[in-house]
Amino acid sequence: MIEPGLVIGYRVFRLPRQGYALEECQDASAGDPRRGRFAIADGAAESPYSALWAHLLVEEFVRQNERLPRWVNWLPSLQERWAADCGLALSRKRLTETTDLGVPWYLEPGLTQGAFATFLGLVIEETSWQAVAVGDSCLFQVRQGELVHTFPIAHAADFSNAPWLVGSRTSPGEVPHKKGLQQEGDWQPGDRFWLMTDALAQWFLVQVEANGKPWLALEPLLHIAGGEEAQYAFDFWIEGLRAARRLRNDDVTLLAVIL
Amino acid sequence: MPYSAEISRSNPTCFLFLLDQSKSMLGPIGGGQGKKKADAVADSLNRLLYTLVLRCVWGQAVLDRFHVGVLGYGRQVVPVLGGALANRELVPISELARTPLRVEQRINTVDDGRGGQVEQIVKAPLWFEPTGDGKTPMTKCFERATQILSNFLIAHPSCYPPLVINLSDGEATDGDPEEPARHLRELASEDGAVLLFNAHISSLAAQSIEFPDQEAGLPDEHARRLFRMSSRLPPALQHSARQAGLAVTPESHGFVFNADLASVVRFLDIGTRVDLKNLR
Repeated sequence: MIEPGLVIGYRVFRLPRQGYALEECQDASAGDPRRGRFAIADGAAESPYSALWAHLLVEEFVRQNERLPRWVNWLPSLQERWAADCGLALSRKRLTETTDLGVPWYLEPGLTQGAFATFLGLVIEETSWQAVAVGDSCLFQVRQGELVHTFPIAHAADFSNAPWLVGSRTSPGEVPHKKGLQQEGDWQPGDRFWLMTDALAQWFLVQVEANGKPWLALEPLLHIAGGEEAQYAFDFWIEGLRAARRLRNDDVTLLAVIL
Repeated sequence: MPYSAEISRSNPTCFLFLLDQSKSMLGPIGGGQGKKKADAVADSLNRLLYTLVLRCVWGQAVLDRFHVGVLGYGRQVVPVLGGALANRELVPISELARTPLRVEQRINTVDDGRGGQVEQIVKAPLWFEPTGDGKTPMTKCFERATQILSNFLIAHPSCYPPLVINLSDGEATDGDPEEPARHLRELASEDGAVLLFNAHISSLAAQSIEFPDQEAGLPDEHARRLFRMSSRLPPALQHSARQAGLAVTPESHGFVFNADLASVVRFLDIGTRVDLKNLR
């Protein structure tokens, strides 16, 4: 747990891809600053109920007591909740035998596969932090004007169209447990953690690779007093990057942890 | 650059299928184990419509990135989608998804996730029934298609260019179709000319000629005419064809001659691929 009295600030910004409404955004984020737990997830829109899956993942992660919960411990009950919330009160076995899921025919193939999302969870403790990631949602730690940690993707060229994903019907044992999907470090007052979904993370790394300091573009967002005004500034900035074709047209979530 | 417009709800594109429904379509298709050409083509096209719907699923919705129509020509030239969509020339794909003629069930064998296999019943929607009667008024069908697409292009002037796929086993019986086919190909959006692809369906399991790049070498005047009536493959579709293991060049036309069942399916699949970069 974090030190009593320590105040962690955090802010979230979210913008759907151009041409889509906010409620169609497949990204999710959650934070509990008192417990030092934060998470973002990026649902794969091609599969039905992925936004729901992304929300369940982040909300459950910040509620967990285990520091970095083991997938086998927290995924099964979450998968059952996903099925129940979709109105699919059925087990894996029944899904393959059933003739009618009670959904339109075009959702059935996707529901049989399940929903999918990337996931990035961060836990801040007394002087240290730990993170877990599946897929291409990224974390960047900045201290005194320098980038000190990049996780889990280190190069802009490493983003692909097929990131690792957590599935709502994937056996928890199959969730990738590759080395490198957990990371830890220490932190100091004044540090920033920038958590972001893939399109913005790729932009961030492109800037870094060109010797830029992309966090200098993000930092002013944290000094705008009103939440709505800050989100408005974020929207304006993202739309400008998209118009200049410097940012892929994708859902964007940015979660800033302020220490 | 042409053929690069985004395909989205606000800027949809269109697929129009022209389906020979003349009497000869009741004969067997090559490689179809006695299956009638009409049945095989209807089955392939219904499955393709299924795939096109799935490509537009977004969350729990179907996005109207595509408008789709099927025009039959035999005893008459007529839209062939059935049920609630009867007489509709073009239908937004979400409406197509919601209103199939009926939904059948197919049995697929799939992995059960524990190293075994299990039979899974999946839904197979159908939008039209096969039929075969009368002659081959292909020329009239091209004229009707030109009207339909002219209207679509007025409503969507900057769309990714519409694609027309013509599936037939014979020659037009109502005059030379080359001229109306050219009119169809001359229609254009700001993003490029309408694409017209032709599939010639064979009763024999003969060697099919897929995406040829020159007239010379084609077996007869009918094949050469269909070649001339077909658009060149845009670069993205050349790429799709290569991925499917076919040798194509920048001069390859969207044309298959002597297509058996397998090459009809492959032709439909390659022709209707869209670059994911264009989808929004």
